[in-house]
Amino acid sequence: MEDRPVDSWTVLEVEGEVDVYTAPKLRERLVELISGGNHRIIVSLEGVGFMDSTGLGSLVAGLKRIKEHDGVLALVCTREPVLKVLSITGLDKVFPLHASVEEATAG
Amino acid sequence: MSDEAHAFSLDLPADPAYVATARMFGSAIARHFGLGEEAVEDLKLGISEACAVVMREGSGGLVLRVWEQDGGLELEVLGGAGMAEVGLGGSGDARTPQSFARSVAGEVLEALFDEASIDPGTAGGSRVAFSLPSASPSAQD
Repeated sequence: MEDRPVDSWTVLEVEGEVDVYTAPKLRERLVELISGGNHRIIVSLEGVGFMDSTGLGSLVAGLKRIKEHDGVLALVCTREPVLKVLSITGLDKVFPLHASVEEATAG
Repeated sequence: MSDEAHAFSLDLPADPAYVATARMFGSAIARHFGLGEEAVEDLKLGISEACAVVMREGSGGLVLRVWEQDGGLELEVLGGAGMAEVGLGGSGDARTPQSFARSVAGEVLEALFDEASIDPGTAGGSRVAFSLPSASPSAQD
């Protein structure tokens, strides 16, 4: 997981598989970023080959925390397996969802 | 290999680090039986959700079993201890992290598979089961 600034946003690039083993690391990183004053975060899931509901739980925890600061947590995702679990849980309607970082920062 | 008596079985410690191994195991068997990649992805997600539920509910090891049934695949994950709820959504206190996580996992399993269940296991732990029909279009990819 690496983060970088893009305009007024912080982009967190997530790679690999996000499951019950790795999801806590995602949650911790989001909490660190938000606690560090990053309140406009884009999580790019383009490098994620697999994500289950525990990964979604980490994203929801980040969203809940960032909203306490009137912040925004957006997702970038075009990978079908990840989009599918977002759709099943209805979270594709909860998170701003974009096809690219450029699209997300423009929005 | 045509019934539960000839199931493929994988024993794992109840350690989240091994859930990826369970997904790989299930995926290999699904491909062996000719399931398409979309079905394999569904199966991986199902195994991951099932393992997460079982691990949350106990500290013992878990067992993944896969067998062919009527041309499709049946899967079950057994293990855990101290299970107190029955039903995909969980019937206990919905405010606890465990029951919330279980309800989301149940939602995913119900959406992916026609037959999915979370029940008490025979050894006092929990059992998550689901099936993949071979006749699904994705199985012919």
